[in-house]
Amino acid sequence: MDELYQFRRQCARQRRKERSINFFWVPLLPLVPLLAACVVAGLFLAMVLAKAFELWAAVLRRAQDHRGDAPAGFTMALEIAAYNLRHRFLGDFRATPFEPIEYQQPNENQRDLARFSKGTRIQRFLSAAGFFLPREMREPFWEHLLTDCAEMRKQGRSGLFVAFAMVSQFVVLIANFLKETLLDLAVGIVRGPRNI
Amino acid sequence: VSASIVLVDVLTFVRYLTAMAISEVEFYVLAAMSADELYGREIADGVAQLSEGRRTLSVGALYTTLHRMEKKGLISGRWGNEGTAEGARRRYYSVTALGHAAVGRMRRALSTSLTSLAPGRA
Repeated sequence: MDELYQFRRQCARQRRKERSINFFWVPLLPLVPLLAACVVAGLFLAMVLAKAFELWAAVLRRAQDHRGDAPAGFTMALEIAAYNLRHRFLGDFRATPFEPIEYQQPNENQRDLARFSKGTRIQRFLSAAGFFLPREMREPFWEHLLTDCAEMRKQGRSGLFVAFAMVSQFVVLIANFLKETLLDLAVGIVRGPRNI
Repeated sequence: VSASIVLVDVLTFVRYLTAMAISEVEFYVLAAMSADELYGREIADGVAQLSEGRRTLSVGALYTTLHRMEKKGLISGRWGNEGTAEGARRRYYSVTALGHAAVGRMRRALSTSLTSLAPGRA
């Protein structure tokens, strides 16, 4: 009888043990997304490394093909840098001599971009950056600047020249405006709030 | 503390002088605008013409000067309707009575100085 009682008790303990939750792994649950992120990052890194290896192999192949012809590669790198400077950072200037012929005929995407963007990138940037200036100063300044730029283009100035002129005049305007504002602020502090 | 008080006094005095007197650029601007209502480009051309090319105003410096003069009450501005691009309008400026008075005061001061510098006077 005692043996039967002990056996039943042991079976009940076993069933309770099987039904219970093992709480040991619960604190480690937040690590699951971290591990998943690590796996994704590892895969991404592997892709980047594979791409870098592919590029490096292309560079080596090109160096093998053009061995003894280093200035050509250097000139090509300079042309790419100049292209990026002109087209990506300073807008689309069509009168430059290094421009590839395919960019002189705008395709559909370029027409769409031109439809949704007014002016070059630098014009749009300056227009946005001057937002905090007073309207009495900003709008006539912008009208004057755009008219001057159109005149410079008619005179045959390069896009880089026009962009530099625009940025320098904008910097002069900002510097003058800051000087006036600081002077007004100093006088306002000195004389009291009624005289600002 | 005493240095800061002196600095404050100097700043106040400089601002008082600048409010009472007009600078050379402001004088040229007022002189260029005395005839009729002009906008920024015409004012810059007028200043260059009056000073015979010795004083030219860049685009960046011109509009801060005009804004300052408008705040001082020397000139008044109105918006024009013709715009070359979105967010860009011309602003036409004209000289106020205070501006005319400032030009008259400057003219009298200059004539007095020139009279004292006349040959045979000293």
